[in-house]
Amino acid sequence: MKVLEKADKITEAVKKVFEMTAFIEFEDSFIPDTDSYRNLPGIIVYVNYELQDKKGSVYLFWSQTLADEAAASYLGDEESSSENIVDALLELSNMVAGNILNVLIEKDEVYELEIPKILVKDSDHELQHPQYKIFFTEFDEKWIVVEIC
Amino acid sequence: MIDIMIIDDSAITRKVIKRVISMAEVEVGAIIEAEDGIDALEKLEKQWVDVILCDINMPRMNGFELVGEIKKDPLKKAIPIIMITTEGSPKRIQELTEQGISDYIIKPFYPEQVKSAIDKLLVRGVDKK
Repeated sequence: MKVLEKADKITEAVKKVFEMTAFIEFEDSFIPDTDSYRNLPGIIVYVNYELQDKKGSVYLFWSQTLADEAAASYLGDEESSSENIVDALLELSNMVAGNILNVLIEKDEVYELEIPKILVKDSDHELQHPQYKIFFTEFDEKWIVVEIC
Repeated sequence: MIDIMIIDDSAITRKVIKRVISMAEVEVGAIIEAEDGIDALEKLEKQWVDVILCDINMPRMNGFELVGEIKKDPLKKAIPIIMITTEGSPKRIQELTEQGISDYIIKPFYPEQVKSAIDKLLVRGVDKK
């Protein structure tokens, strides 16, 4: 699969997850030429995976506005406690990561996903250099960047 | 009515699946929740269920290991298992099918998919109480 074709498939996979789980339709998606979003306020979730012999991670840089809205939509009538919001964000991130890998793998490949984790800023965790990064936005404050490393 | 066990490490996802089952208008008796494979096996010792809905990616004992444990138990191996998971590699689905799962639903999913999977089991002969 060529790089742009893969990027298109990743984009479709991410959009599908948000449409089906949180009724969010992204207006725009593009490959950013900067990584300045890494330093913006928000929440970073990462999901480590193992594909054949390769280990990697899917990072999701959530704007706070999108995180709040997506979690609330996913929770539906459930109480929006901070614990429930985190649980919802981790599950949504898990779905995004899994659906990305579903379109990236070859037919005879199997991958393993680890439990999603929230990246604590200023921790020792070092962000890797992404193979793909795609910026999704509905409007200014509602955005998410997906990095696949 | 059928008794269902939902196995997922996310409490919210278990609630979402319960909501989906309700939206799908499946006639359900009891719904038992378990947060991973070990919790599920402990609860299955005390309570029979008609259908298991199970995630793969869980701590302590994942769904893949749990299916293996259930299918080698002569008492429990008849319980139909529907995997509900993000992992959708064709090879993984094939492996689980060979292990004896009844169906496979990839997250995110629509309520109709759950209803359809459970209806198929009912047609195959899971007892309606």
